Formats: sequence, structure tokens, C-alpha cells
Amino acid sequence: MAARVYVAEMNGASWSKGNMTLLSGNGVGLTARYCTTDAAQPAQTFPIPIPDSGHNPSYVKTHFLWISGTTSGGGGTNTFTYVSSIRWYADNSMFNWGSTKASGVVLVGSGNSSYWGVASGSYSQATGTQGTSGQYLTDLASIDGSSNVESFYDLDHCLTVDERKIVPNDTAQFVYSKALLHQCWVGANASSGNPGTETFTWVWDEVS
Amino acid sequence: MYDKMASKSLLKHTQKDGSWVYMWIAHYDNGTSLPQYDPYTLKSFTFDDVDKERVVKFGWYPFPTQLAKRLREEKNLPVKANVFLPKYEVEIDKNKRVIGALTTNFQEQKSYVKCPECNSVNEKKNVKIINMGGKVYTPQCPNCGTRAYWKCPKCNRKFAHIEKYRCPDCDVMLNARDAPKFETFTKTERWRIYKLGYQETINNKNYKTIMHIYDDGHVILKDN
Repeated sequence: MAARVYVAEMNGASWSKGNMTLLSGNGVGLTARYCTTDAAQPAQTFPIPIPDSGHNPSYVKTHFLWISGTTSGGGGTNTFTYVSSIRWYADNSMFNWGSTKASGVVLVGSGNSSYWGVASGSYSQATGTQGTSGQYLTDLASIDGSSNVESFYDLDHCLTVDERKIVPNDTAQFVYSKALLHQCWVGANASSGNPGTETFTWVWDEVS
Repeated sequence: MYDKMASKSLLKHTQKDGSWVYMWIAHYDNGTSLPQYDPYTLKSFTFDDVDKERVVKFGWYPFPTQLAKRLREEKNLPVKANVFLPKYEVEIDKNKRVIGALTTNFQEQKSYVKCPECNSVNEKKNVKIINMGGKVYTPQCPNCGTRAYWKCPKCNRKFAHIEKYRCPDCDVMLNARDAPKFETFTKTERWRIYKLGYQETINNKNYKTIMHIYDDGHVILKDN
């Protein structure tokens, strides 16, 4: 059978299944929230304060695909040959803030390769000053640059998170993709309140 | 009329509930075949199990009703039978290599805005956000035009846009406290495009022909 694929967020000190929160997939629906703590969805407990000048970054989000399945001989219900070409885009209406850092932007980081994703082995826990601001995405060792998400808005203008052919692991019966790291910057010109939800799309090829 | 029919057809594949509507079958040169799911044991096979050297035909087929029911009930798989869907096949001769069992999958957390007046639900990217002055913004419903206004608590005058937040007549502070409350939320949508085709080498160049098959049965022919 085809793989079961979920979008997930990693939090905590180490990359592990127990530290993972599923955001969407079969029967799962949780909206992640940019915030100033290391959690997928801490309600409105840790908002990002509007600074007097400059900007406050949120804690960095680490999102990836969690792919459940085995080979046909692996004994699982869901079987697949490989998953490949994992891509991502937003919808070009990011908070309707425009693209100036004065009010706010959402940035995605690029890994230290020709692709955007960061391998699980390079994961580090999101840090910062809880309740105030997070560490800058570009200060992470695994990140060598960043872009405004407004550059990625449909399948013809998307970024590649993971270029590999990801094959099943019959022992674990699941595999991880590389992760996309992103964060929100709130600028001094931002208006207060909840700016609402945003649309993110993950795309992947699968040979079943 | 043709345009209306075409639009309707395209809309159908936007159900986006994550259902799988096609399964593949590989047909061999000796008349046997390997289906993605064994209809008796429900065992599933992968493209790695296909003997590509012996394939003479490969296709995507709508799930038979009984098989879909069993896969749903016994394997908890999101399979849907639609007897109105056509089947798609390619014949593979010795010069061609099959491109089969391939899907492109989409999983989207899509953002919506609900109007408190007319209750219409619209994609957030289609809802205009209007500056009311300074750092204050309001959404405007694309269906009924509902939006927030500044209101003077003394003379009840309404203002669409004002920079100083004060009524020019009464000089009192304006507020937008009774503004309509737009609800925003996300909904997960999942869908897939089934791909089928072949590649062949002609004059030392590789050529691909691939059908992109949507789950309402319409198809687009591409070279990648």
C-alpha cells in the first residue's frame, strides 16, 4: 500500500519520535503557532512581543514529513518503494504584511547544501529568551542563508526540502524527511493581535 | 456550455479528502498480472516487486467496489471506489520503459476566513486586508463587503480610514470595538495526481511521455 505521510514538528533537546508532534495527515489536524517557546502549539501563552525598534524573531520551527510504511516484505500495512522530491510552498498572502521587515516577515532557512532541508542529524533545539524572542535562524550552524517565504507560492515557485530517494525502513517502519526550518519576524510596525492562519503546502512524489 | 462543463470537471478533483481512487496493475508477457493489492489476501505489492523486463502493459484502474470496501474495513486504508472513473493503460514494447506506480502528493494546511455577517467562508488569500490608518487593518468579506470601521462614540459617525484615531468633528477618541469579528481557521486538504507513461531512447536521446491523471478522471499529457 502507499505510504502514510504526515507533516510534523520536532521540539525538545533531541530528534526523536517521542519529541515529534503530528500537524497534518490522515485524521490529524493541528495548526502550529509561531511563538516564543519551543512548542508546536502553546495556545496564546507565548506571543511574540512587538519591539520598539527592529524586530523580534519567533523560536525556530522545525517541520518535516514523517513517512510511515515498509517494503512489501516488511510486514506493514502501508508499503512503498520510495518517496522523493519533497517540496514546499506558501500562498503569497503571508499575514498580508507585505515583504518589509519593518512590520514582519516569515523566513525559511536553507541548509548547508544545494537544497533547503536540514538533516535530522543537524537538529538543534529551538532556543531564545522565552516570552520575548527566539534565536535568529541564520545564527544556526545548520543554516547558511534565508529567504522570505513570499518567494515560494505555487508548484512552479516552490523550494525543494529533500532531494533524496527515501526508501522504507522495515525495522522502524517509518522514516523522516529532511526538515524545513522557518521563523516569523515581528517588526516594530506590526499591528497587535492575532494575524490569523496561513496556508502551507507540502508536495512529494511517491512510487508505491 | 463547454467551458461550464470543463470547470465542473476540474472542480470535482478539489474534494481533496485524501482518498485513493486508483490502484495499479502490471500485465506480463505470459498473460499473468501483478496487482498492487491481492484481491483475496489483501497483500500489497510495490513497484520493486514488478518484473519490468516482462511487463507488456501497465495501468491505473479504479478500485473495484468489493476490494475497496475490504481495504477500508480490514486494513483501514483511505480507499474509495468510483465506478464512473475510466482506466488508464500504456502498452510497453521492447523499446519502452514503463513509468508507473508514481504519484505526486499534496498536503496543504489551507487558511480560511469566515465572515460573521453572511457566514461565507473564503480562502484567506482571496480576502482583501484594508488599512484603517496607522497599524490597524481589517479584512473585507469578498461576498458581502463587511469590514470594520472606526466609530465615534459621541456622534456615531463612521470612518473607513483615519490616521489620528480622533473624530474630526467631536475631537474624541475613535474606537473599533464593535467591529465584526472575522474567524480564521485552517483545514487540511490532501490530494494526489496519478502518473503513468513510458520513456524510450530515440537516436540516443531519452524521451518521456507521462499522463497526469486526476482523481476525477481527467488527464493531462506531459513530457515530465
